[in-house]
Amino acid sequence: MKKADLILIAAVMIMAAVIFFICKISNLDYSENNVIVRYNGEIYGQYVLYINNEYDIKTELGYNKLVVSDNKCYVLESDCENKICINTGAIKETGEVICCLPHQLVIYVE
Amino acid sequence: MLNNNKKIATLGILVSLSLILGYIEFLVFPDIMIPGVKIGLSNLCVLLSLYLLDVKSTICLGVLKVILSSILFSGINALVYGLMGIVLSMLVMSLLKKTKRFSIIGISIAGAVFHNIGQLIAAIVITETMRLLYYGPILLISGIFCGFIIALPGKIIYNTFK
Repeated sequence: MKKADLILIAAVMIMAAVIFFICKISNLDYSENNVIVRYNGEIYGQYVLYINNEYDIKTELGYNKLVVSDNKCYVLESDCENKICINTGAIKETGEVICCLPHQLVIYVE
Repeated sequence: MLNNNKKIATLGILVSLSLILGYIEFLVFPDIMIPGVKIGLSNLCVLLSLYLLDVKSTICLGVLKVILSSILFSGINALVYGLMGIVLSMLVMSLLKKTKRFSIIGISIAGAVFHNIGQLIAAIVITETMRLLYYGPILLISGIFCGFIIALPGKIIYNTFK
């Protein structure tokens, strides 16, 4: 390890902290519990977190099933390759994100 | 310095090794703890190629690796993210290596971190959703750890073959 290595590590950590706080601050504006589903840059659907339901998200790129229950939401099924969206598990806090990159799908709470 | 034939042969071995490492990673730990975060075993080959061969060969290796592994394992949709990640990572690694101020550990960490940054930028641009910045801190910190872990065998192998 050289000195430059340590500076690099410190710089990356500071960058991580800055991004973390930027995300935290930008989330302060939102307190409503909405689930937003964005596909390809546009809003595909907007759902309310306290209404339990299941939503089928069908796009040209594939199929995902979004479940909203007990103030949480998660992806139950997906026909993507990596299943990262399913493995992410449930989100409930403002700013938390589930993404399914193969389907260009981003699901977040705000 | 290696002559041309030896360089091509070494490059071939590194490309196939990177694909095998990528596949082992895909089988053994598709997602370690955090979804979407991978150790990046095949980054070892990029690192070795940068140290044992040259920048030009490394670019060949990186681009070939991403194209082949997205065809073989991760699906063609992942190609853009992979390419963006590997190109940015190789660019930063070769620039930092030129300054001669960093050890192999620092280069490896920079490679892993900028691989993640590249993929995140690609994801933000493609989905047009700044919200993905939420993953930024996780990806940066995991990049430090993964880069460090990859550098340890990298250092041993480099010292053996140089």
